[in-house]
Amino acid sequence: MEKYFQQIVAHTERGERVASAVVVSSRGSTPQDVGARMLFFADGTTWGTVGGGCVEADVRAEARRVLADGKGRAISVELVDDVRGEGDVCGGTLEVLLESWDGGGTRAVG
Amino acid sequence: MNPTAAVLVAAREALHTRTPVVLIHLVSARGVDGEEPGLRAWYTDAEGLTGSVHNSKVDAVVAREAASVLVSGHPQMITLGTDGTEATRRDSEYVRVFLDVVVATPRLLIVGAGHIAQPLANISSVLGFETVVVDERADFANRHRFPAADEVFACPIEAFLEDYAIDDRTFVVLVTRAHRFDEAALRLLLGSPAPYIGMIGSRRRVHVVYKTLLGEGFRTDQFERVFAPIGLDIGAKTPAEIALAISAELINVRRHGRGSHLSIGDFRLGQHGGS
Repeated sequence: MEKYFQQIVAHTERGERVASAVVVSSRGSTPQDVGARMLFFADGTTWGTVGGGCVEADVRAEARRVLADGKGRAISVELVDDVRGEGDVCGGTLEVLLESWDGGGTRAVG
Repeated sequence: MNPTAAVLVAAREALHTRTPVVLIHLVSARGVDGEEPGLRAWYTDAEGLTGSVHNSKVDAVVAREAASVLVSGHPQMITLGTDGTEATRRDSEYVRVFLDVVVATPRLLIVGAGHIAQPLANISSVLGFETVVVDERADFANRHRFPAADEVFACPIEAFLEDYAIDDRTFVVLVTRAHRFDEAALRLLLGSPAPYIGMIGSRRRVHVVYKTLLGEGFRTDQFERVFAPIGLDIGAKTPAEIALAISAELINVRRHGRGSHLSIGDFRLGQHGGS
């Protein structure tokens, strides 16, 4: 079944925290689909993609903070136009929601 | 129990039954106290809404939207006022809620474990299909030959297909070693909800199979959903190339593609919005 859940379940059952990222909205000329998903694990490995390149670097940095503090958050990511290159921010904006997954169920509701 | 831990318990259930789940996240809020972004609730057909996003009015609308997201399969963002009516981000009070649908991974069932099945299992696994291989020959259907497959079954094809739950996310490829096996498999598959049934073989071999099944009372229109001969026409020759042609067809069906070139053939500067 769903490998997304499989990954989360497998890692949290080992007592590891998992950070998930999902694209919740996109504006402008972005090739990313709403619903694109990525997981970040404590050992630095990942699963899935939210679109590669610069987007992923931004999301990865935020996911590291989520793994550290266990708090979900929503961020905006500006996309760099893939023809004009760095500096020109005209490729659109993505909104990405990050979530912290902990197994066990001992943590209080935030 | 916090929502993510509770959802994991539900997810474990869903894992076994391939049940789709809608995860309901609060993305942002304005004019309402203490609403931090995060996972709030989830929705399944059987259980309805578990957890709460904001108040009962908002939750009622969210549950209704979740039900339609389950049907469409597309995630959706909604912005609601605290009374559950539609709102925009210009309003002084709103909650923005993201309904994320997590459906079962598409599965590829490869019937027959020969020389096409091997590269096909590798490609299909890379493409993200849960990959299952079945063949009655244990010296063909084994982990050693299919390291990338999720499951490999060495058992008679008909007996296997009679038992196996083929749902509307199970793609099926028939690459058995003889048309009598394809025929036996197809007989059982024609009534299934599989979104894709592909069958290998020359046009002649395919006709032989169809003729036999027609003689048994199947109708011509039942063969319309069968992709046979199998694969997109890319001139594939080798087993790996044929596996690629089959995979391309799977994606084409799954993503509703057109199976043609994307190339801009007649591009002239200034005529296509290029700078």
